[in-house]
This record gives sequence, C-alpha cells and structure tokens, in this order.
Amino acid sequence: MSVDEEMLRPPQNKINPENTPYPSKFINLADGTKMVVRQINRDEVKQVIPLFYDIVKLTDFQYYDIVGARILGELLAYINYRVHDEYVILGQDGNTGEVLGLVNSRLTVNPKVGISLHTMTFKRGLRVGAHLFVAKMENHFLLGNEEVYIVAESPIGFRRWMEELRLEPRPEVEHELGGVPSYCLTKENWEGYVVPERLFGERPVPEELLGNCNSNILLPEDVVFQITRKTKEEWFNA
Amino acid sequence: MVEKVPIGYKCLNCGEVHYPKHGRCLQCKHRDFEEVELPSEGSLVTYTILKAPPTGIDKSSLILGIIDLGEVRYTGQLELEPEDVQLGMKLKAVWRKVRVIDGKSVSGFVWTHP
Amino acid sequence: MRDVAIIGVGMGRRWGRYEGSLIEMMAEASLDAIEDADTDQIDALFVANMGAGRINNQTALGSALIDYLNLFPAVGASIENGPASGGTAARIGYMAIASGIHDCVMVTGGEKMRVAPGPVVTDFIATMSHPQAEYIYGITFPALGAMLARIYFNKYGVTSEDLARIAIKNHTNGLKNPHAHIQQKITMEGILTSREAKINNPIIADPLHLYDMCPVTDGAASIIMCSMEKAQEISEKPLIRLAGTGQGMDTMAVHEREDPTFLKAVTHASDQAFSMAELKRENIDFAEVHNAFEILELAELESAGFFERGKAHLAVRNGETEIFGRFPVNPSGGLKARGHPVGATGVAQLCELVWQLRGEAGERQIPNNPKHAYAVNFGGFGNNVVVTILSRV
Ligand SMILES: CC(C)(COP(=O)(O)OP(=O)(O)OC[C@H]1O[C@@H](n2cnc3c(N)ncnc32)[C@H](O)[C@@H]1OP(=O)(O)O)[C@@H](O)C(=O)NCCC(=O)NCCS
Ligand SMILES: [Zn+2]
Repeated sequence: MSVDEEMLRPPQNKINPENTPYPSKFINLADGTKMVVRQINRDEVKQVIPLFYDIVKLTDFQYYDIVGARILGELLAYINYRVHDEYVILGQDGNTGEVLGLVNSRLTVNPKVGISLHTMTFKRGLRVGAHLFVAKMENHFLLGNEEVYIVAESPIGFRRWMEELRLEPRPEVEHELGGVPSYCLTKENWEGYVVPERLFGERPVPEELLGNCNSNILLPEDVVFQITRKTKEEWFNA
Repeated sequence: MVEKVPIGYKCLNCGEVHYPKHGRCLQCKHRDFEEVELPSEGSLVTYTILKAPPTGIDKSSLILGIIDLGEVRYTGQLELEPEDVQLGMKLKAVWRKVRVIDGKSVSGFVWTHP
Repeated sequence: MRDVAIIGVGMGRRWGRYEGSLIEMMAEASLDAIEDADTDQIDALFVANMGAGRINNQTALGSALIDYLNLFPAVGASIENGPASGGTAARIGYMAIASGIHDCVMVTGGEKMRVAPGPVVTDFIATMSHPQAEYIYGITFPALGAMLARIYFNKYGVTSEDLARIAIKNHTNGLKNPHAHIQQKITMEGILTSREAKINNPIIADPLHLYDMCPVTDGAASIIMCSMEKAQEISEKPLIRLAGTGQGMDTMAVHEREDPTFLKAVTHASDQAFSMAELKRENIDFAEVHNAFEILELAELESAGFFERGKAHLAVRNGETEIFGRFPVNPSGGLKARGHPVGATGVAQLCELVWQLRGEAGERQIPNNPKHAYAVNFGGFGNNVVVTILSRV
C-alpha cells in the first residue's frame, strides 16, 4: 500500500471543524504599545519560525532553549499537518507589526479538555507573556473546552501560571509534554477568577492596527538582545 | 492564662513612655525604666496590604499597620479581611505567631476587631 | 579645613545584572573614575556596601578592592550605613581630605543584589528596620513606603496618578542615561488608567504599584576626590567643589516619629549642608533625590525645604521637576530608572551631579550651565540621611 499524505495527516478538528480563528483583540502595554493579539495561519507561522533558530541557542537563560526548541518542533509539526488541532496566537505591536510574544495550544485531549503547549515572550518586562497566556486560555473556553491541562518548564512560568492564575494541581494527569506535574485551569476558576481579574483586551481591533499586523510580521532585529539585554554577538561569543 | 497586653517603657525620671525599648530616655537620657501595661485597643494610623512578603512569612499577602495607643504607637500585623481595613478604625491586640526567623517561630502582636 | 574637589567619576558598564564578582564590578567603576581623573595616585579608598557579608559571602571589601586593583600603598576600609553607605563614604572621604590626613581619596560603592530570589532580597533590606518592633512582623521597605504614601494621600491629596507621573518622568530621563538599569518608556494609560494596568503594573504594597518602586539592581559607582589645591594642579576638567555635606538622624522605628511625613533627618542634613556651602535653597539648580519609592521624591523635596510641606506634587503636576523644568529632579532617572544597588546609590548620585555640572550629561543635560547641585542619600527608612552639595568653581 502506498503511503499517501492523507494517511499521515491528523483527523479533522472536532470541536472547531470550521477552524474559526480566535477573535482578535488589542491590549495596552505599560510602554503605550497597543499589542494586537490574533491567531495566525500556516503561512504566517512560517514567517515566525526563523526567530527560533536563535532562541534555541539561548542556553542557561531561563529555559528559553528548551521552550524554544519545543515550540519550534510544534510549529514545524503544525505547518506540515502533523499535529492535531493546534493553534498559534501571536502578540504584535499594532503600529509596527513587530512580534512581541507567541503562545500555542491544542484543543483536544478529548472535546472537553484542552492542552496548553507553550508561551514565550520576545520582549521582556512588559508582561506580554502574562497577557498572551490568558488569551490562549480564552480561546480554549470560547471553543467549548471545560478545562485545560498545563505544565511549567521554568520557575517564572510556574509563578505566572500556577501561582498567579491559582491553578489546581492534577498530579495524576500525564500532560503530553512529559511527566512533569500537571495543573489544570477549570471552567469554574476561569469564570470566577481569571475572567474578572486577569482577562483584558478590547474588540474590535481598529482596522489600521490589524492592517499593520496582517501585512507585516516584523521579527525583532535582535531577539537575543530583547530577551537577554546582551546583543547576539555578545551572547554567542561569550 | 492571662492575655498578653502591649508593654511600654516609662522613664523613671521624666515619665515619658517609649516603645520600643531604648537604653536611655529619648527626652531626658535617664537610664531607668519601668514596664507599663498599655491599653490593648488603639486606632489605625496607616496600613498597607503587602503582596510581596519577605522570607519567613508563609502567606502571599500580609496586612501591616501602625496603631496609635495614645502614649505610644505600635507597628504590627493586622488580622482582618483586606476590604474591612479603614484608617482610624479601632483595633485590639492579640498575641500570635507572626513570623519564622532562622527556623524559629517568633510571636508578637496582631491587631484585629475588638 | 581645606577645600575638596571631585576630579574623577565613573560607573562601569550599564547597571542591571552583572555576571562577574562584586569586586570585579566595583573595579570597573573604579577604573572608569581613574581614567576620568587621569590619576591613580590615591592615598585611601573607602568602599561603600551594605550587604556583601550577607548576600555575597564577602566582607572587608576595602582591602579586597585595593588588592585586586593594586592600589597599594593606598589604605582603605569598607563603610556600611545601609542605603546611605555611598553618601556616608563620600562624607568620610571629604573629612579625610579636609582634615589634611589624606590628599587623594577614592570612594567606590557597589552592591550585587540579583543573587537571590525576591523575598530573600526583600528580607535582607528589611534587616535595617527595628528588630523587635518592626522586623519580626515582616515589615519590608516597600511596606514602609506604602504606609508613608497612605498618610500622604490622606493628608495632602497626593494620588496614585501623581506617583505615576513621577515614575514616567524618571523613566523618560532613564531612557537618556546609558548607565540606567531600566530603559523603558511607560505611559499613564499603560501603567494606570487602562484596565490592563492591573496586570502591567500590579499592586505590590497597597497603595504602591510596581512602577512606584525601584528595581533590584547590580551596580557600582566611583569618585575620586582630592584637595582643591591639588585639583587645580592636576585636573584638566571643570573643577567641582564639594561645597557642603550634612548628616541627620531620626528614630529607628518609624512609628516613634511624631509626623512620619516629616523627614527630620533630611531637614537636619540639608540645613547643615546649606549653611556649610553658604547657599540658599533657591541657589540650587537641580537635585538627585533618593526615590527608592516615588513617594520619597515628594517627601524629601519637601523636608529638604525645596517645596512647602504637602506641595511638591503640585510642582510635579506642572512639570517643574522635568529636565527642562524650573527645578529638575533626578535627571539620571533616579533610583527608579538608574536602579538601586544600595551601597552604590549615594556615589552614583554624586557621579550624576558631576556630569551635569561639567556639562557632560549628554542627552539628559540640564540646560543653562547648572552651577550648584544637591543630592540626598536616604538610609534606613529615613533615620540616617546624608546630603551633599556640589558647586562648579
Ligand atoms: C514565562 C514568560 C512567558 C513570562 O513572560 P512575561 O509575562 O512577558 O514576563 P515579563 O517579561 O514581563 O517579566 C519577566 C521577568 O523579568 C523581569 N523584568 C522586568 N523588566 C525586565 C527587563 N527590562 N529586563 C529583564 N527582565 C525584566 C520581571 O520583573 C519579571 O520577573 P518577575 O515576574 O520575577 O518579577 C517569559 O518569561 C518567557 O518567555 N520565558 C521563557 C519561556 C518560558 O519559560 N515559558 C513558560 C514555560 S511554562
Ligand atoms: Zn526621661
């Protein structure tokens, strides 16, 4: 039997068969940036991928290498149709289109349970990651998940998600990122705490901002500097 | 058991009451004091709800305040719901474990509704 | 007593996180000062540091730095006076020269604080508070700042927006300071008035937010002082005279002060420095003040006598304290933007005064050739304060 492409592709996304994208919004950051938060398609994901070629080399800096390598793998799987119901949400500067952070997730362990993959900030110090993480949770609940499983790979990730969002431990659950202790965001906690206290952003996004972002996925000139405050040269030659 | 009450240090020369203890009177530099019991109720002068407590405090949020007892003021922890705290409110001192320092638990005054 | 001049200043590389050792970091700043002064003929070195014994496992830093930089035969010591260590060490350096004991003194301040998690650093700073009456309760410096702010809000009508305005001004200045740890624009909408400000600028010690407070910073700063006579001989730069120094004290426990909004130690230290310099408040062209919390920027300006009690925030609202305002405050960005490595801060303030007075402050230069400048370095929570006045000769 010849193996054709169709046999390798995942089945259709059950809870979002039309692939309705996350409704875009924008968020005010501390420096006045209007960050546009929107789901990106496969072509756009291809444009973001080169960022990770540098990030995977950031050893000993808050787990950027491991998280970067995993995201890179997940994005490649996504553009090549090798992963089931993944979505990728980007945070961009609404004026320049510059990429500020990225989150990805999978919708179904089963239709009621989503699985959070990763969160990464390309520009530190503006709580970009905190805002984007909540946006990806919003998508899970908008599309009908009743809970989401989450793990952390870094101490700051643990502080941001497990502690700040008051997640429930679920040590018995095997998250697909490995056997690290799993936590869970339940619908009850989502509605009772996260939505009123930590979910922000306005819709609709003004046409102009959206236009800037759609037409221009601008990668930071030196993402290593944005993350570590040392230039690429300084970092990789040290 | 007798309830612990806040203590002040009264100068035996000029009568000035101090808290905390000093080796010499802040008014007259005299060295002898007697311990006097202070009222265990006072009013709240200022406070903060601290979201970043130091090591040895096993809570994510801690209310701290300054309480006026008339002759002296006390600094301490408040055992209240954050939404109940109000400047000028009346508070009463109770003796509680307040912090772990170098592995040992330390007690002090905690202020709550009378 | 002899007149004393500052002939060299330096701060090493940009503050923030330093990978090497504390001594290496202080050495970089010291070598910058040596280069600036164009002399390494130093008789004594005073190192200002608060907590290396506790957080970096190193004591006797004066000896260590002399050894590392081969400043022999210079003699030295470390000076610990909490966050006022820097100002205090400079004051002691001044005394050493004015008295005639030494001719040329280096003062280097440094603190490497980003070695421990937040609650540990917070606890280390809190060891300055009263051990029985404050420390055991979990008092932190942000908590003291917050309790002061609440009284200010209540008594004088200062608002969170006023504090945010000061932070925005200091961040704006920091963006122009290559040494500043924090070089980030912030806006009122982003940190206070938008809904998402709640996440961007969370409350740390109610009513104070993240952006009302200084960051935790690694950093060092160094100055070289000598007798005016010698400075006239060897220095090619505009001569900067240490015109006035003062130090004031207050009770250790904040609650023992009759009016906590009145920083008595700042008043006393300022009065001494002004009378020594034979200057009036209105002669001062700009100031660097110790804004570990933005509320302190207001309280210190008032207690120092630059503004009436409870009125400094009105001047801030009018833009008077901006670089191009009537009375610029913290052109460096202050502790808020430059950062606050506790032992280094008082020395860094003097570096900024010197750069401004020489006209070397680049993009953040205060216009119209400032001649007299003021710095206040605030130790404990205001129980030990050092004021320095510098004048261009
Ligand atoms: C986890 C993560 C997404 C959080 O991002 P974020 O919400 O945007 O966080 P910020 O960049 O605003 O803040 C990061 C830290 O840097 C500090 N910081 C603030 N300004 C800074 C600056 N200019 N430079 C460097 N650090 C700064 C902040 O204080 C904060 O630390 P704190 O939370 O201990 O106070 C991000 O740190 C990241 O991408 N990490 C690497 C990947 C990772 O760990 N992902 C999560 C796996 S579970
Ligand atoms: Zn007495």
